[in-house]
Amino acid sequence: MDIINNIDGNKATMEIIGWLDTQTAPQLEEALSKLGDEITNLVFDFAKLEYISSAGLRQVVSAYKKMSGKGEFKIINVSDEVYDVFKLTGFDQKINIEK
Amino acid sequence: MKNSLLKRIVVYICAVFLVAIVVFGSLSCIDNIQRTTRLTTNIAKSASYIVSQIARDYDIESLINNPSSKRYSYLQSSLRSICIGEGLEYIFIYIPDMENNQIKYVMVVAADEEKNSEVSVDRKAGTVVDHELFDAEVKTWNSGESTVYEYSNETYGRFASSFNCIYDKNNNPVALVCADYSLEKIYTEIISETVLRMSIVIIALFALFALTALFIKKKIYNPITMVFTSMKDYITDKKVGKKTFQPIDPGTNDEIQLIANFFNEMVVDIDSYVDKIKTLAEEKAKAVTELDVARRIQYGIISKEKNICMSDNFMVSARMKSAKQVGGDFYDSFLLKNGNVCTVIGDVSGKGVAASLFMVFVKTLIREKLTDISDVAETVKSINLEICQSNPEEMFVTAFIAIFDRESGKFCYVNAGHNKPVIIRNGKAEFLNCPPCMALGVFDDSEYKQYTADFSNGDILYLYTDGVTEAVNENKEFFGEKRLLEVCTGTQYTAKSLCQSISSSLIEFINTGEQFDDITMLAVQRQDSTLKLNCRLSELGKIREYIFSLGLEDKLKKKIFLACDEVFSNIVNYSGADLIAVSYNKTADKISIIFRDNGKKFDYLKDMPKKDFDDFDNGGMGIMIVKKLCTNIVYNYINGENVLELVFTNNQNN
Repeated sequence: MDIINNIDGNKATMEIIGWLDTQTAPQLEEALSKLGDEITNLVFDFAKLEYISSAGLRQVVSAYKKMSGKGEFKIINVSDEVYDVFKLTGFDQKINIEK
Repeated sequence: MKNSLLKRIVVYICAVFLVAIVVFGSLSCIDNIQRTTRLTTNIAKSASYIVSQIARDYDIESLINNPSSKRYSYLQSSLRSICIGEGLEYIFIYIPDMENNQIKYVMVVAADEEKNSEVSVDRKAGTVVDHELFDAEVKTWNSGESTVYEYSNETYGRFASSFNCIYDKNNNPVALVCADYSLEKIYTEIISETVLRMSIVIIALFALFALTALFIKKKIYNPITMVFTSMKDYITDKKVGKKTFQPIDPGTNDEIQLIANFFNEMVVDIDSYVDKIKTLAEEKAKAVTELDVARRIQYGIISKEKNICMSDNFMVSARMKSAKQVGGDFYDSFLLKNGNVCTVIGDVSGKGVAASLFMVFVKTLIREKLTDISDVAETVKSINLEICQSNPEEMFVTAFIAIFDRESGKFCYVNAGHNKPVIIRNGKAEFLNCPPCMALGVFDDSEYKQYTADFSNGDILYLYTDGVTEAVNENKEFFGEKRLLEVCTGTQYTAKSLCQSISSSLIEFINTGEQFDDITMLAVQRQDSTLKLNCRLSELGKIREYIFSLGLEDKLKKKIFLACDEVFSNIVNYSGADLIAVSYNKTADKISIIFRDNGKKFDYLKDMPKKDFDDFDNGGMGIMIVKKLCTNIVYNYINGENVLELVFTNNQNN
């Protein structure tokens, strides 16, 4: 899995490419922890994300919590397959997800 | 009863007596009449003759002229004496006048007093009356010959009259004598006498007959009635199942007594036979029911057809087609420690309930004793010893016991007098090298030897009983080992398809022949499809490869992998296991992934606390996802292992 982190002022766009599973989730955790406090707008670009497991979802929750009360968090370019997983877990109700 | 014997006897005897009486009475009556007629005629003849002789001494003319003379009276009284004495009706002396057809009476007497007075006035001497002379009269007058003439007179009835001629001294006829005898009177007498006599005979005969009938009734009819009433009652009672029969004793000491005695004996015999038959029938019905129960129990213990995935490495398939009777064939397949598999096939000597019971005992014993792969021969020896100690009927059982080692890929086996199994390696079938040891239950000191053979992935070991090789077709040929090997040869087989294939070959071979013995078979195939993993997250890639190699549709693959990812990470993170095995099972509409781990017991379905969204960053979503992805989740804790089976619908549309 690869993560491409684009920071533009206080907005960070993280492009996650490949498989976000138990094995790779720690990478995202690390990337999130490196984000500075000045970031108030966080976007996950899932255009090239092929797969997400609960470990990945956990990082999504982390990111969501990080932004709550402080700024905005959204996920964009979600493929149908990944969206299905969000739907399974009810994430689509809580998080701003764009297909 | 339509006809009574007694009634018939009475009617027959009556008829015979009546006919006899009528015939005999009539004949004797006729005979009497004839004899009496002859006799009377003779009397009449002799009377008329005597009168003619007496009258010879009298001058007829002077008698006519002097009817009041002494001589006249004398003759008259003589004649009357004769008349009465001979039983005649009348005696006439008269002179016939041939030319004028007249007669002139000289003297007439009648036996009867009244008639005598009458005629002595009506036909006093000298009275002339017209009278057509009979031929007999003319003949007597002319020839002097005595004649008899029978005639009927309306006034006086039937008479037999005898004529004689009275001659004078010169032998010239001077008058005729006629002696009348009343036939009617005689006939009446004869008939009345006959009737009287017959009546006496009839009364006597009827008395005799009544006595006979009484005798018959008492001595024959009553005893026979008693015997047949008794017989009838016996039959009636028999029908309703009552037993009230008392021996019959007519007390006659004759043939009827014999019939009664024989019947008494017969009843005793019949009753005892019926009781025997009843008992036999009951016993038979009981035996049939028991056999039926035995058969059902046997089938319950050994299911007819079985396809079992015993462990992730071994596939076992078995089937049994029993002959008509309850047989002693059995098979068994069970899991030992460490996932090793034990399979047993056996054939108990004999058939029926005994064989079946013995089979259950042996099967249970083997399962109980064989718990480990180490020293199988010694275990079999102790099994044999135990069978010998509890075998009063001296039955025995041939058995083949094989234990498949999951780790080493080999199997060890003991052959206790059983048929050589077939081993199929790379499509080549041959009999397994296994010198047989003694069957179980024969000698308590039998030694058993164990052998080991390789059992690579895809290899099949085919176990069977002699019902397979000794199946007989309508030409009395055996199926035989050669045919068996031919059918077994080929790479296409799985344990299940091999059993199916041999079964259908057997059915085709036996065709219209009869199946004499149980046909029992069991096949074990090694199927290495298990992924063995260390308990590290870095092994997840192997699971992905494993699942992606299953030839499933892309979307399903990912769905399954997602669930596996969640389960696997849970095991790695929480179970404390060090080994995880993943295997799969695929059917047309379902696919299941089985996880085994030797970690602490953890039921994912029950033990997982429910969490809210905000806690999800601490985990807990995994099982929720798994539950939503799977159609079914089965959890078991077996032999110290968590076994979790995830079932998915194998459908292209999902």
